Amino acid sequence: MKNKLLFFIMLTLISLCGCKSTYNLEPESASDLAAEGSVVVVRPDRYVLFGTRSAADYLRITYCNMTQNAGGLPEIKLGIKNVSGNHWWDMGSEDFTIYVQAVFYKEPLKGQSTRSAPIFKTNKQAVFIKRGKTQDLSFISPVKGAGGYQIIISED
Amino acid sequence: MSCKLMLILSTSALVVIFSGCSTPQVSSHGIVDIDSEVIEGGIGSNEVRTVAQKMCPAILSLPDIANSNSVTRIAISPMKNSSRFIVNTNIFMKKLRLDLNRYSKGKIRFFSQNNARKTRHRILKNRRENHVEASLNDIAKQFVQSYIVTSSKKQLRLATIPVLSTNLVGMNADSMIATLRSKIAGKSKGKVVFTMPGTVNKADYLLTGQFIADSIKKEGIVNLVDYIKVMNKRIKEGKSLEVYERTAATKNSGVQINLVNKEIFLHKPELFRQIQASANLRAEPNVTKKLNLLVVNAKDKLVVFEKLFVIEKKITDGTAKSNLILSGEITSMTKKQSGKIADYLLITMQLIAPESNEVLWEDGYEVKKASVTGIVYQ
Repeated sequence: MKNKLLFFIMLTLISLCGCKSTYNLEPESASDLAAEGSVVVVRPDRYVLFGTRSAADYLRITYCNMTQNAGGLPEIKLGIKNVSGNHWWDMGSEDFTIYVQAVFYKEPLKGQSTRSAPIFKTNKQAVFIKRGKTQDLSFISPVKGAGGYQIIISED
Repeated sequence: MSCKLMLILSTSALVVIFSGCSTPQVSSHGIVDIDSEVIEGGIGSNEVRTVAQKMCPAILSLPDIANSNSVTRIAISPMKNSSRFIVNTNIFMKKLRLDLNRYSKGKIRFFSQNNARKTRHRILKNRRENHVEASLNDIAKQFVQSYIVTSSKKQLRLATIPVLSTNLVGMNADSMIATLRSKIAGKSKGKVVFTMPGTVNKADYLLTGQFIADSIKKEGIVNLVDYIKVMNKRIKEGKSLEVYERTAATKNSGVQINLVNKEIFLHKPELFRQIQASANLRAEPNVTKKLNLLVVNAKDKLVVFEKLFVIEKKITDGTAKSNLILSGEITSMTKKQSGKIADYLLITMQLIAPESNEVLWEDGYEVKKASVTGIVYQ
């Protein structure tokens, strides 16, 4: 009984030594960052065994490029198509709303394993896409000097 | 009682007890994403932010602004709400102004059209007092150094007479003449002396002036001090302070106070009521006020020295310097059927040239929203 009590006390003390007041945050993996594309969709709210809940499955990019407008400001033009209902297990096609946000960076993003702070970020703009239709979107940054961008799409 | 029956009864009792318990609905508050629509339908933060973020770079891209080396000043006109929604339209302009200030790098400036007005007026009024004092000092110095004083071999005698009001009612600049008089006397070191106030005997020159308002109409105030003086006099004389409408036709226009018997009659009681009710008439008019100081030869009444100076400038909001006016409108079209409501919203912004009234730039954001309302509460 005495040994058991001692063992319990020692176990408690050892466990307490592992408690800290702060914990370091792990940085995002460099390879994951480098693999990110110009147009990304946030992960679904949950993964399911059959089918998909990701908006990436319902959307396709028809075009995406960054140019300068007449005022010399960087402008991203993006075409997104609703291709929902293209699986044998998901034949029903839907019209839905997505939220699109454009982030402008100083340097191009492709292949970059590190990120710098963006020079400008738009708000999340609501876009309604009818089934089979392509929505043409445009985002202009009021800050000049953008060399790269990323479009982030989410369901809310 | 058998064990089985006891068990059933106790279980039932527990079920009854716990079914009576409920977690009360408590309020919860939390921070949500700025762009998320927590409540569907209507105009929300997403529309405000999207409009600002579309219009801001569009305005900055305009050739008149992008290629200009000078600052563009924009006055804001309140946004018009022609939709069915009760919206604080100021928030659209505020957000757009924030973004333009943030990203224009000083190329665009706005006027403070509503904020800080009282504080600004107070500061400007305080500064005026220093300005008037400095101006009177300067004029006194100029007069003492003028040909009239320097060439005179004898001591000059001046008298002050009340300032003539050109188009100012209920106000006078006699206090400034009194101040100037003492400054002239001080700076002249005995070369110029003044007669007692109210006397002009044996004066060589008369110091007076014209009090001018920069306006094409008469400006002034209903001077409370004068009003009180009249009322006090009537009270001492035992006269009534009642106002009666004169029934007989009169040939004079305007407000006149005729003391008849014990009552005060006014020819235009409506005007009097307006004067009583209007706070503007009891406040100093906001016009540029100037004083034209005159030194007049007492014999031939010719003006020998004249100096015009600005006592106080009209306080403006600065929008006269604006290059453009920023305005906007929220318009909507609504369809309702069986509890379903569809709203088409068009939010437009314009830049207008003040002189020509031309719309130099216009852009819009459109969105359609659907909502469902309960049939019972239609």
